[in-house]
Amino acid sequence: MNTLISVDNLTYYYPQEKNPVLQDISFKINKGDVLGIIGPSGCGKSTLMLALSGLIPHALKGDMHGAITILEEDTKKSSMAKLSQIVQILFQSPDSQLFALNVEDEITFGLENLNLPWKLIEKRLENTLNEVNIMSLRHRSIEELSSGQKQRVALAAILAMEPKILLFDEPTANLDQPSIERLGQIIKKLSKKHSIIIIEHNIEFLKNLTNRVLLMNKGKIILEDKYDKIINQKEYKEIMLPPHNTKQVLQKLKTISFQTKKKPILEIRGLNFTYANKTKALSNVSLTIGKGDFLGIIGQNGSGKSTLALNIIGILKGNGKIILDGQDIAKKDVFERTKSIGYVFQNPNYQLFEEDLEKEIAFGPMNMGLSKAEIKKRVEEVLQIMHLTEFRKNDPHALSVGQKRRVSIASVLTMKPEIIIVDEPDTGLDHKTARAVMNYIKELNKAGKTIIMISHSLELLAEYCTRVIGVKDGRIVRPEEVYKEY
Amino acid sequence: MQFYDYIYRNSIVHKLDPRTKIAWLVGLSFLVFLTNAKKSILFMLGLVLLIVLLSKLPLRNVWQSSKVFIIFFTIANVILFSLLLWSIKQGVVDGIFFSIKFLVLIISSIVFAMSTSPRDLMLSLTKMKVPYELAFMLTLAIRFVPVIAREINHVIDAQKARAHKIKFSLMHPIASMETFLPILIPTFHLLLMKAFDLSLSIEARAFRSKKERTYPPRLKLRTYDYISLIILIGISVYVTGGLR
Repeated sequence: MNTLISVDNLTYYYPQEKNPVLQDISFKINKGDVLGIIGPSGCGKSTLMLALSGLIPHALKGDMHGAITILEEDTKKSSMAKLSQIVQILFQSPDSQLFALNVEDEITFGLENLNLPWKLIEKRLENTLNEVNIMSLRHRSIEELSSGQKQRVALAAILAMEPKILLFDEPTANLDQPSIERLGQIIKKLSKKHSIIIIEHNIEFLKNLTNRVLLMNKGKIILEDKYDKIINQKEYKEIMLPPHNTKQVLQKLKTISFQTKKKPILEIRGLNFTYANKTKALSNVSLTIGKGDFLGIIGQNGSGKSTLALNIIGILKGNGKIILDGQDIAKKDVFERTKSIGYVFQNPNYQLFEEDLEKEIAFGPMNMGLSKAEIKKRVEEVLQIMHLTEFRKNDPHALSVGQKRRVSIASVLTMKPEIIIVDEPDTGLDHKTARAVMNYIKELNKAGKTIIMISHSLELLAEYCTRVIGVKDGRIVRPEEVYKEY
Repeated sequence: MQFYDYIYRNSIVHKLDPRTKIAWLVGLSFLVFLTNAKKSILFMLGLVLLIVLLSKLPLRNVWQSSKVFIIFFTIANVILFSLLLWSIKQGVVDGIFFSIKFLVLIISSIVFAMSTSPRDLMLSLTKMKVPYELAFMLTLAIRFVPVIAREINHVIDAQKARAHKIKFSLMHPIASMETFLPILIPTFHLLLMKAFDLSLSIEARAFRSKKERTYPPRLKLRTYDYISLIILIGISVYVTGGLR
């Protein structure tokens, strides 16, 4: 039998939702397929994954019509015990997928649940540790692993179940480039034994891995073709951006300067920072940022780039001078610094708490003790700039990911900072939505704001930054030193 | 932030089966509160200190974890007994002895936690017929306390960057509570999302899909477990004998 999965007229409504998130979806997956699923944020890709894994309808009820047949098992009638040995899913965030205390326990967890004999469990444990190349992590505690290592442990844990089909939900989302490449190699190796489905915003990742790609929009499949063909079709171009060309991007990055050519607004002199666990994160960092710079900071996970940014706003305080407009602010606290420096965090959910958007973006200026009239004026201004006026009375939690990102920028903008730090603004966004968010930031830069952007994305750095620096082992380096690892 | 501070050492205390250690912990706790003989109390303090040395745990860590209790209990008991007995001299002596009882309990609990890997503890709980779901919940709690602490810190940082200050004043409890809301709401929201994701990945790995499950055959009572239990019985006889 060649067909492994058959999806027939699948329609699904989340509990208490009136609109379906998946509409009349049909497709087949054959043995040996590596299928990519792409589409704008919120198009239903992740929900489709949950349905393919059997979690819909077994863990998530809702209203499911149509059928998914996996190796002749109707997912509706089958059990999770059976399905879990046929299909396994690697979730986007490994932190939500790992619940044991050490690596070994994590990998054996599913097998213990299946009540397999211990000898067989041990054999599978050894096999998967070797397969994902993490034998050295076997006795380590989950908590002390890096995000790339955690992902490989999560992968080992699902491989141990010996599924025929592997589902990957945005596997590159939290990884730096070297980890992405390592993951690509692992998936390539796995594709010899498994059929694989990968959801990705990072479309280029699918190029050499997949033999077919599905394009989804608004809960429907609108195209199904090979990678090279799909990216040239009209329907694709209407809703998606063309994939990046890494060579061209690297070429462009070479032309971007390392030093500022503008009058300094912020100067960092001899900054050192060591965490409580004695990890030295910044060593003698000196950096001048010019007024109106659009500075990109690139570096691998753990290189010290976020530590540097958190030192600038004063959430972390190291030793050294931080001179803002000629004044040393190293001793000033965050509250003082927020008058001039804003920080847009990577995850908007860390900030959102008000019942409507208007109150949410008024929160910063209110904390600064501004008058009601001034706050109102600023809120109106920022709602206009960020095109959020129509959502002013909406619950911020109910907005789409791209809109939430805009709200978090807006909530910093109302504080009128001269310098805005943006941490990984494209996390979780498709290229098109990310570009839309970036264009707002570009407008702010044009209007005179100094932007500091931390990013793994070479494309964003190449397209938007007027200068780029690298951070490696807690030191400022020329970005080429970081690119060469890409 | 660590909720459960296990420190690996190659010591006899670490090698003992958690069930043996639980028997010791329960045994010592009963004995120290059963007896009032000063000789027995001092003997048990000596015994616990000997266990600390045998465990090869860094003394600094044991002190760090126990110092608050040692200082607090000693001062509180000395004051309490001095007032009750209306004699400073008698109060100091009785207060210190009463504190030692607590210290035996606290230090032995700390040594237990530091010398027993949480995974072995969970396994031994299931062997002692504690329902698996309960032991699994405890594992999740230990695993996720540092994760939750990290999330809370992110939320605090993110709100600080919006000029938010947490204010606490006993005079204005409601206003104080309000300053916690910008931290609490995003934290609960994040935790709910995490719990939802977690429940899906647990289901995906066939949690409770079968009536029986396999347990690793890791824990076994060995000769030194039996010897140590015999010693415990010996000590019980000595201390309870001292009661008469």
